[in-house]
Amino acid sequence: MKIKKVLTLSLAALVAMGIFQVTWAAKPKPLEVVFSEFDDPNVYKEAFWKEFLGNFTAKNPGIKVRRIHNNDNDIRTNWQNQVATGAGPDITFAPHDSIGLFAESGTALELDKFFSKSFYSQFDAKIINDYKYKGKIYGIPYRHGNAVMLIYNKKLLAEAPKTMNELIEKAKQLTKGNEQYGLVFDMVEPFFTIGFLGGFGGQVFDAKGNITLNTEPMKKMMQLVYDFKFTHKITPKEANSDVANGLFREGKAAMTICGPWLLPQLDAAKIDYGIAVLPKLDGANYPAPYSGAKVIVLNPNLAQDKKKAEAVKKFVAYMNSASVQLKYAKMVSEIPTNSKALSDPYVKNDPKVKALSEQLKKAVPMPSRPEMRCVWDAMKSTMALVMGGKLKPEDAPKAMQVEAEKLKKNMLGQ
Amino acid sequence: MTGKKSMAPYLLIAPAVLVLLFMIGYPLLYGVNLSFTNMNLMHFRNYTYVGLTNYFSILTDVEFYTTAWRTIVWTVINVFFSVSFGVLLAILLNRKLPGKNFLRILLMLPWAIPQYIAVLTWRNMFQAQYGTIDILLNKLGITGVAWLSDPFWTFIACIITNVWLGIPFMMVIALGALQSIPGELYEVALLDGAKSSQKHWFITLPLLKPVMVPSLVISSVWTFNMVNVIFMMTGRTGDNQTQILVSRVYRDAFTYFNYSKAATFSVIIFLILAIFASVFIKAMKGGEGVYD
Repeated sequence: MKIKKVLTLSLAALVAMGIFQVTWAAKPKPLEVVFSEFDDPNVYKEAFWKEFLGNFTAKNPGIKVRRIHNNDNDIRTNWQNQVATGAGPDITFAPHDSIGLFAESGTALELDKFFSKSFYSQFDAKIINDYKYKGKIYGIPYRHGNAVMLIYNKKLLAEAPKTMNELIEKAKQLTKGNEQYGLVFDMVEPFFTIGFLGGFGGQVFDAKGNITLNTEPMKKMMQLVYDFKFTHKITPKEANSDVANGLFREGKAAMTICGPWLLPQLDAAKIDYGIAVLPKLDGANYPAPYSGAKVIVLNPNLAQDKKKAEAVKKFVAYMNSASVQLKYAKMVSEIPTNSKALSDPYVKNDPKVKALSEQLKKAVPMPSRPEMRCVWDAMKSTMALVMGGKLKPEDAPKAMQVEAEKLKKNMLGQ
Repeated sequence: MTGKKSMAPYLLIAPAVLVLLFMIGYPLLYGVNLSFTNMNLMHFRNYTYVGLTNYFSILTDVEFYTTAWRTIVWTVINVFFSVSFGVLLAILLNRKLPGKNFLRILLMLPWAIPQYIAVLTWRNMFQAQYGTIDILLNKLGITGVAWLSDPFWTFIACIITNVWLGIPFMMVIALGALQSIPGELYEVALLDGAKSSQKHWFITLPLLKPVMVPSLVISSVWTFNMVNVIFMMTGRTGDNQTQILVSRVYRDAFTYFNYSKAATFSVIIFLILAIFASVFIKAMKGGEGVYD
């Protein structure tokens, strides 16, 4: 008796499930494209994304787009781990310097042939070329900027200095004990000062990709940064980004070396500021800070999934149309990469963007080799010793070189 | 019938065992497996087995030993101070004290604050020139301590923060143990004419031991593996001069993507801690009951 009951019940359940499946199958399942982004949620709010994605799905009813937010510390790691397991989102936005890591570890699709020639022709050719890795496209730059510039408080300083010596002189006059500083910048992360290396004619990699930190230009750069603090005494005793930005925002610093991301904070604090290119180094060139782009990277699995690949292509094309790129870049005062968007009055006339474009002309793209991580960490720990007064600036280049090579060996498991 | 009866306990613990197997057993074995491969960013999706290569490369690197030594120093100092302060405060709180409840809440606060908020707050306080600590030190005539730019002082700052974070746990454990010590013992000691210090030495401390030994082990393991404080105080990866073993694991795995090496480090840390825990508990006879 009992067994019979159980049997009939389970049979009924099976039939019911079958019916459900039929009804599911009857409706065409929309193709789902998943992308992960790392945009500042304070700027790119839910309402923005709703409109951004809504406009796309309105024109492409068969495609459903799902967004995953990451913070900028996690975006690489999450992508690496998820793609390594054979799954992961279809698209990720990423800082361009992670391309090397993705390409080497096989977590990025090579894109030279994935998109048509006509797709690439809508971009500024130089930008596409600048952000290739080992001669191939792994990431499509959709927004460009991120170089540090000289930002000065117009209340304290009427005009930006033209040369480094002039900057130092002005800064000396404007430094008043602990109350006010001539110059503030993040003294922890070498990203803010690496432009001086290029200005003195140095590079962190040679043409073959070997690390080249133990050089004369590096010595000059370290000496300059050391002198800011110890010889000319124009900076605070120590400063990370929080302190440097805080001082400048409170009007306690005449000049700062920082990127466009600081500008919204300054607008909010109602600081009357000016922006200029980093002043020319005396007896050398203009500093060449690193520029950065945000790029679109695709999941290697798309090579096998033609149907999804088509949907992804449509979405990427939508993102990079002139009007969408422009709107997207405007929100953070950065620069689009679509040629048509680049000729928009916004890029030509907006004072912030104009200043950033001027600085970008002197900037170089941050190397995207994975070894860059070793270079940064070696520079950071050595710079800490120099700025702590524990290591002479002239001894720093050698220490950096040794440390960076050790980190590289460790990274590659050699 | 008897067979069924003896199955019952196993069935009862089965869910817990299953959860442990999946949550701890599987990741552990996966990690050990990973440590014998060459999974790094050059061999990320196509890694192969390389035997003991990772172990050799770590154990022949001088930096491993300096880092291990720093980790031991870090653990000993942290545990010593958090236990001493914790027990001391517990003894104070165990007496008749005006406003005791309020004090107790105040002293437990560090525990209630999310760790990362606490660490970031401490980091701001250690800031040269504008941090609270530097301002106070300046008033006392002490200048020039570069807390966050000199690796030595950064390490000290990490220790201070971690001790502050560790005290409440030890205090609560010790307080619980103190309150379970029967009052008669002290009365008898009083009748025998024991001094206050003797009471602590001969009654309080021995009776605290059975509770304190396991919590010492736990807190040593926690401190040994405390990545948060170092990570946040130094900003992301930690410099070489402030690195401990577990922050090294973090760095190798998540900034350099050398997963196999990080897994090897983890296995070594696991072995160190397993040996330490079993030896320490045996030596302290920690498993024994209070009145054995």
